[in-house]
Amino acid sequence: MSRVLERPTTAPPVLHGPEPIPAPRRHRGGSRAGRWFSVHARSISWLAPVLLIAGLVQAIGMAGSPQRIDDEGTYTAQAWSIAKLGEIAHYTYWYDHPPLGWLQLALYGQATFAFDRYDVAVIAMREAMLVAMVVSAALLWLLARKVGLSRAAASAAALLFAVSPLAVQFHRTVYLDNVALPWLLAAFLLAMTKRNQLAGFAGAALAFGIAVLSKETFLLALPVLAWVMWRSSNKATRRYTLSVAGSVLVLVGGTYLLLAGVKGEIFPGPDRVSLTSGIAFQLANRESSGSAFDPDSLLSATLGQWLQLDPVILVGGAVAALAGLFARQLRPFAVLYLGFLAVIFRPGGYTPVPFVIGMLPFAALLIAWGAETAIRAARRRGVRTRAVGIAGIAIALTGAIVAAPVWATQLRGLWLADLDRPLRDAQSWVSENVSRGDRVVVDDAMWVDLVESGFPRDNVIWYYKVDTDSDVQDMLPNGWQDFDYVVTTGSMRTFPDNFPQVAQALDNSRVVAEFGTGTQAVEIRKVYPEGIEAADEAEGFAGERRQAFGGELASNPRLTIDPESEALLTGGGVNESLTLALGQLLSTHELTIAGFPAIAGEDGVVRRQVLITSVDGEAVTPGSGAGSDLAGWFAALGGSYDADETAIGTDGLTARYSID
Amino acid sequence: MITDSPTVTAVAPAPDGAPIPGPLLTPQPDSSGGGGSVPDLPTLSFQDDVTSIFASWTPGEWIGYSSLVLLSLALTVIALTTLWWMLHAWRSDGHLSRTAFAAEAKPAHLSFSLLVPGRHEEEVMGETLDVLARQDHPDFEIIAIVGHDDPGTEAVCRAAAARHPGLIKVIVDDSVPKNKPKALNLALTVARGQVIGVFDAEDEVHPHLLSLVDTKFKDTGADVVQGGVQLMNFRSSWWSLRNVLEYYFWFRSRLHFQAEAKFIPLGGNTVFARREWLDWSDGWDDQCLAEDCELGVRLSSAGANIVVAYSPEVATREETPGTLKSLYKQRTRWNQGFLQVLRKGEWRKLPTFRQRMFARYLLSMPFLQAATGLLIPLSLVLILFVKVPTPIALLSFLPIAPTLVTIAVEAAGLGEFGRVYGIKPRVRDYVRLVLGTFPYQVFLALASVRSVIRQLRGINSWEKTEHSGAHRDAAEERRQPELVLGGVR
Repeated sequence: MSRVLERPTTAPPVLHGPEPIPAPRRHRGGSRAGRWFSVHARSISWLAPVLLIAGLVQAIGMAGSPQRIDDEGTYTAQAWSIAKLGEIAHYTYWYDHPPLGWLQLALYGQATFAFDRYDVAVIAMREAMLVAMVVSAALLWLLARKVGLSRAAASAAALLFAVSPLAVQFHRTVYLDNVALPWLLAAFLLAMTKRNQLAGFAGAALAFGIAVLSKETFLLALPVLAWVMWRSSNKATRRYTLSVAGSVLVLVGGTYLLLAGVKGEIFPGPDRVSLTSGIAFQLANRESSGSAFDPDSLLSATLGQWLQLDPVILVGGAVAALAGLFARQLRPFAVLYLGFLAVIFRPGGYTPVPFVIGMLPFAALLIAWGAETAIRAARRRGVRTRAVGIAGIAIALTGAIVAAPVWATQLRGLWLADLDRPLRDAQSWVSENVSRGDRVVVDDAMWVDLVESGFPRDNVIWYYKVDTDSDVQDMLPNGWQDFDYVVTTGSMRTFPDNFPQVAQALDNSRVVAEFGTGTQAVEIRKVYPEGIEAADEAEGFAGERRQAFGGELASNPRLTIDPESEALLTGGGVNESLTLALGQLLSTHELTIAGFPAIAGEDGVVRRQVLITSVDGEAVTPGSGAGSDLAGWFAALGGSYDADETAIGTDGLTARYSID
Repeated sequence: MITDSPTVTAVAPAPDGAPIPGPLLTPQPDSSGGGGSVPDLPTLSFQDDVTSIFASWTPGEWIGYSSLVLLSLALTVIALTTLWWMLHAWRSDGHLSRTAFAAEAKPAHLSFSLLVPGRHEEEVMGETLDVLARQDHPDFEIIAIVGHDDPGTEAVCRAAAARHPGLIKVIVDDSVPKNKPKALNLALTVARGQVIGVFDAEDEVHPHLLSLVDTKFKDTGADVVQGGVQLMNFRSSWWSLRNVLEYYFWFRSRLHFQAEAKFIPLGGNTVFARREWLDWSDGWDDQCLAEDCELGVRLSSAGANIVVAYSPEVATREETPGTLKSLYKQRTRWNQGFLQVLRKGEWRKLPTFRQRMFARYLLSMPFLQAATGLLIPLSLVLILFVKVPTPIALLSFLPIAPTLVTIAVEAAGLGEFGRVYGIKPRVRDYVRLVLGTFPYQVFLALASVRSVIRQLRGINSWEKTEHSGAHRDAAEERRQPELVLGGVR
């Protein structure tokens, strides 16, 4: 101030010329980063281990549990289509969900070469889920700090969010909700910006828009987000900050409309998809999940699954939310959580299974806040306050005691169980044993992998599209009779009635290979276009022939064979072409056969593989003359006697025949 | 995934001559098993699709699409930066409070000379001088500058001087051709104040303004203070609404950003500079069509401390030009003035690279606007008549996003303007605001195109505006530097 008063009117600036401006101080990158680290050292020392633990808990065994489901495969295939085909979906995009979620997955896949790094495409996308979860956990930590939790409590919230078995199961699964969640949390964080509020609000609106376009159910959070924004908005600038935020949000939402507009698909028309019918499907045509009090309802099943994985976090979240209603900072999140609960229990509504993903961070936040508040209250003086605090601690401890054993069991399973193995084995079986010209109806979980293994896209048909997509139906003039194989999974077997063509194909098919058991079981079924009765009849004759040929073969003196395999032969348990080829071979050579090894997944069906250990007394080994002669002999066979594959190992030559 | 299967490993690789997949779509490395184990691998059906995304474009399409993309991106960047700067004052509440005048004036410590050039302004100048004379500041003088060929205005001014003896001086400019910087430079020779202020002949100035400006000089140690100017008549026409809002956002917010960036094109009036700096700058550049902007650039480059202050109640009030045509000519002159300043290159003396880039961008804005103006019809044709791939079509809509946010902000601004100045906007005004957006953009683009053409052809003249009797028409000239070529008039 004094400087101004002593303004040198006698020495005008003209004399000095303009004052030199000091050159802008340059910070070396290192020192600036160093300062940032020293300022945030305490936070980092809390957050970094939390994120590490969260990441490890999710990453360990992520490819094995849970078993891949159809939805995961669908989002993966759509992301893969964007990345590899430049198309927005692997079938006609029909506005079931806005595409931004899998667009981000595609970007991740392209930027990190994830699709190339994994054999199983869905697992590549599970890696993206891992990244999304770590980002969400970090954002949740920041959000917790923002609403006043200590570093310890914020870390507890982030850990709860990341390591509850319910969370691990759903965070691993390739759901769009997991993609949307970081954006939702970022939106809330930005909506509480104080400095640079305009940019913060614009960012919040953008992030929320992305969240909604990634998973439309997150739109439910809009009123609460608007409330949080209004509360933290500065009165003097509110007019502008909220206008900007509102218009940004509308714009981001508008891009979806624009996409439909550009494609000319806003309104329904004959034989075309449209935005309106997509939305109508989600809002109206979804079947109600039923009542939570009806033990057979879909909702009960969903809730049962949630509670089985973690009986505490959702209930604890609800208890903490009721308390949180009385705390100014937490109130919006308490309302949000209770609102989510109300949506689940609303009569007649449809509750998607992954809906819980949007609830978990807020449950974790509320529980951590509740526990910390209770501990603080218990330390205070007033009798009442202490009583409330001690009660809170008691509730928290009860929850922990209930949760501990369940968590231990479930996490153990999530880390160690390889529930996905049946699917992988089934895929291997299909890619090895099914001709690329055959039509295979599959669960989307293996769609990308089969296409990448060389099946033409049109020959790998997602079962859901058989009865719903006219483009697919055009390729199948004879309906289910144009299928060669159906690979069934748990999700396919759940609603057999919804897909009549698939159901008919299943009725007229026979299991040729089976992997896993129970709900994880995966069956490969060969479809008989002529109908199962005709197929059964034909099989009856074929069985008789196998018995006859097998019996003759077994009695051939030139054949050396163990009794068990002999029984297989005489019982008609060996493939007819294989039996005939062996008969042919025995007419000129002596053979020792070690058995008819079952191909993985084919226990209990006709054997179509033989292991020959010696020819004319000479051992068949790699590099041996007998081995190459024998391989040459098989290769020279023609017609239906032609072996599918032959391979020479240390124990002999294996010849494999295709299914009759 | 098939390692446990005994039979597949030893099988022959893909036949010779199989197509080598490109890096984008390598389906699976052979070592991983899977696809490689299958003889007679059929052509993967997606191979063709991938290459076809780009390869099928003709050169014409390449050019068309890429120019459309570039245009969209450029327009978006321009619109976004403009929007962001326009919102500067509301970025946070700290930003907002810093932009105002002090609530209470401190005791005066400076003396002021207020220069009021006028040309054919006999109808309004008398009252303007009377109002100026009512300033509550203790130490100021008013200098009215009139042309030797304009006896009407001179008479009005002399009458005002007689009403306020000792306060108002009238000086006569006999230079030919006449213009505003010349008049100001002439007045500078007789002005005695420590601070020189400039007003236009029709300005409505708040009586408390000088005291507040004095305080601002004191509080900030400023070398130059730019006060607010506000057009008022937003109901006159669709374009006057837009013109009013332009002023509102410029003075309310944008200029503060310019001040923070230390590069300010000053306004034509309600601008106050310390005498020393005007001596240093040798007054105003009488060859420039935008002498106010030019002075601002020179002062900024020399590192003068330029402070902008806006409080709605003391903003100088004006009216928009009387017709769209005169607004068009006015805007052409401003743009051309900017281009002149750009070419003169004083901005190259700005101390930091960032400032220089900013100055270049700002002063080139007429060029950019002109370019986009020319490209608008092209892109419309492309969008309407050419089947464009979906992603490119979507991208071409990108510039609309900041534009729509801008409209929302303008609507908010109109509401605030109405509240601050006590004129409640009606629904009709908001509708005009929205509907006027695109035509006004086209209008601005046309003015830019015209200014660029004039600049390129070296037409450096004041262009004659119909001046016969229509006073409202004349209002527009008053705001502007008058580079009158005797022959034209």
